[in-house]
Amino acid sequence: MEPILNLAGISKQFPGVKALDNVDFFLWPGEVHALMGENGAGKSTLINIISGLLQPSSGKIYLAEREVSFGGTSEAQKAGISTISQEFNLVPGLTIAENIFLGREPTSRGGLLNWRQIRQRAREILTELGLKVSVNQRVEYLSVGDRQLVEIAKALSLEFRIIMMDEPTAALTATEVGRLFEIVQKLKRRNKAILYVSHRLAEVFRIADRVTVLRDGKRVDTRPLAELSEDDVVTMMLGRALKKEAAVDAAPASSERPALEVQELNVRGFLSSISFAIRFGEVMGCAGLVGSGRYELTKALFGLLPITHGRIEVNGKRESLRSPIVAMHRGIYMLPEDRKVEGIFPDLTVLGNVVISARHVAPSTSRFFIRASDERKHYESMRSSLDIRATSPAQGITKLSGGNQQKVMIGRALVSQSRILLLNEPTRGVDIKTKLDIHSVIRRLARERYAVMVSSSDIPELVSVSDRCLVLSAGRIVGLLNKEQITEDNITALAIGTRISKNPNE
Amino acid sequence: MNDYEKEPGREAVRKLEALAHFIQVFESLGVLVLLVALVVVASIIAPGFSTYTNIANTIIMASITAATGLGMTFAIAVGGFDLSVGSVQALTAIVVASLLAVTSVPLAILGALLTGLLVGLLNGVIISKLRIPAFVVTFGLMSIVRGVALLATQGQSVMITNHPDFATLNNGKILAIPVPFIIVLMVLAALYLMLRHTPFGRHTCAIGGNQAAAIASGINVDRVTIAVFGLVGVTAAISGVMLSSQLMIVDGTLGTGLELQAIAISVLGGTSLSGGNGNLVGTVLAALLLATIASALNILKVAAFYQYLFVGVLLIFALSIDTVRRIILEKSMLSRA
Repeated sequence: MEPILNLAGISKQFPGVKALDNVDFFLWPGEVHALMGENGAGKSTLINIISGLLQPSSGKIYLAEREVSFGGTSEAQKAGISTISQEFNLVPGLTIAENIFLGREPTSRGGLLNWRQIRQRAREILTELGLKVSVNQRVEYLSVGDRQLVEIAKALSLEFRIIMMDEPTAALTATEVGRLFEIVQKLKRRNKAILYVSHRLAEVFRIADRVTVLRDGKRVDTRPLAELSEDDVVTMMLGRALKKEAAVDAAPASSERPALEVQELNVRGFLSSISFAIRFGEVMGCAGLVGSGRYELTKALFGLLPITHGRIEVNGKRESLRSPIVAMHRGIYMLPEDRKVEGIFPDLTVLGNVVISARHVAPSTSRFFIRASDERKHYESMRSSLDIRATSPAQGITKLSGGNQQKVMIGRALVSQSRILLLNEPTRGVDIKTKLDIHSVIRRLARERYAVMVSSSDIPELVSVSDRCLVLSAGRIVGLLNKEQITEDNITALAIGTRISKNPNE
Repeated sequence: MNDYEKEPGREAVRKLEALAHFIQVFESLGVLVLLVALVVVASIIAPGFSTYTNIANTIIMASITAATGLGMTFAIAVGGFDLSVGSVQALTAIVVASLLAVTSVPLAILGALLTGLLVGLLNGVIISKLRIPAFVVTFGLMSIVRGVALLATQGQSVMITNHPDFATLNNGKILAIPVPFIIVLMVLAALYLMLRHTPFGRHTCAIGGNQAAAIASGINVDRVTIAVFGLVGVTAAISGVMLSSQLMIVDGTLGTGLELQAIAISVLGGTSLSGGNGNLVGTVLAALLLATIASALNILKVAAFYQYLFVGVLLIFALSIDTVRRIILEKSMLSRA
């Protein structure tokens, strides 16, 4: 037998970063091969090179022992490589059958679509996958899990030999994960090669035959999983043994009344049984992988997601946070995860963007007219305390750098005069100096008796700013770390699902 | 490996931005320049254009469209538009004419404005509470309101006979300025104040620019949307009152096509259809521009049909200029990143 895919000495150089450094990689037909590594280890770059999105700076790619080079994703697809990513390439308004055969519909004589054949063949593929929905169902009505299966069906209909799955279970329910794994087994029996990218140790051990671990752009090793323990894989990923000292629950450090207390919070499809409390004067970190429910937690606390069940107390009083307007009146403000999508008002000035949330709570501003002098005062205080670099308050927000835009967003949260701040990805896409500035602002807020929650995918960031840190996985709290327990290793281990013993002496 | 670090020079980026800025200035001043040029040309080649009577009539014609156009600019700024304004103009013209038969001028006008407000609020409530696109809702109301106007009059005309003074609202002059234009300037001042100096105006631009961010910033999106459409209804009613005082005899077929004229002058005036901002002054200037074109062509005895061609070309030109500006801005941002 020969490998279906062979990467020889692949390197990828980005400006200032070597994302991949001389990586060798074999993929055999009929195997499920897991690709693991921390954020920034080079997983995405490797997948993007295989799928034709990126071209390697050096190295060779052999497909079934023939050297290939892909100029784009369509060339890789023609060669039989399919990528099931989290952003689906499906047209929501079309049916399942239409999506499966999109762009290569079988036609009858005369050039008309051969509907009978399209439906018939789509039905066969769905039956094979065990998906029990009508092929005439429009994709927009399908759950995320079903959409993913339609993507796989499309890959099957194209007779792909290599299927790459990038975090395929991130948005799936437990039942859907089970179904997906059965399908992966079927694909394996049909001699397809599956490259499975995931952060989740338990899943990888359940489904994969071999694992390749990347660290800092280099391949650490490729080993059969049967020879390895979870600890071995974590050690390969981190480059050192995991110190097993984290306790899963930290004792409440003080009897002071919490600013925000959450009990048994449930949000359908995202969160279950979330309970924790934040006090004024502390920074609560919140860690978790993609799909862990981190962002959804802050959204639920800010009234952007309906709560199915649970109790929220603000300043010791039970509250129903139906909308951001209500949440702001109770003193809660949320910084959205993606400032471009949910934060920036591109047509407003820098000043307009800073003060947009001010008047809901600030009694000094008039209800009917903007008081320019008040706004100017708000803006000036934020500009000086956060060091926002704008040429004038009237400058267009889109003219600022990413870091300054992020400072504007933080200024907006502070001007809202809320004392409970839920900060999502506070330093995403900003330069290192701004990042340090923002970290010191967060620490300053804690000293000024704000209650701050920092939800971030940047684990070193959580380590440097948090007093305590929640770790979420699959919509549940899997750990609450005390100051001395907050280490990158502990957070990573909890987030990817290693069992950490409660007893450090064990 | 340094290939990646080669960026287009700062100089090139600055040039692109300067070009985009120039186009933006041209966009806001362009209508004014075009208007002045057209008035000059028309005065030279069309004898009779520059008479006081003709210019006053041109301004009156522009004012009736401009009143609705100002409201429409607000609707576009919030990220929608209102197709029902033509029907509202007809209905409110009928309301004012009918009320004048039984009551005083101020009460009749108030009745018309309330009618416009009501239809507008209905638009806004359906759009925001039932989450139906503005296109569908206002298209539906356009038909319903038209039907109500025709049914109420049984297809007959309503004449204003017992209030001859009502006509001064159209043909009156204050310091030689036609009253309708003074009304438009007042509406302009009020709306400008709202757009630039009230939380309502800023929230309008915020919603039109980024609705998700507006919700996450604690803006009451529903309430602002309803208020904006209520405002559009009132401006359509103002146009209705103006039209009825001009004609003194009204019926249910008035105002067809006003919605597209109103959208056209907003866009020509520099308001981007993608929402997030409004150029109110530009809207009034564009209304004057279109009225000047119509008047000049009329004096030159050019068939009125050519006006359609002219307006169409202008519209496409105005829109493509905006697109070019956006492309240039994106390019400069990309090369900066």
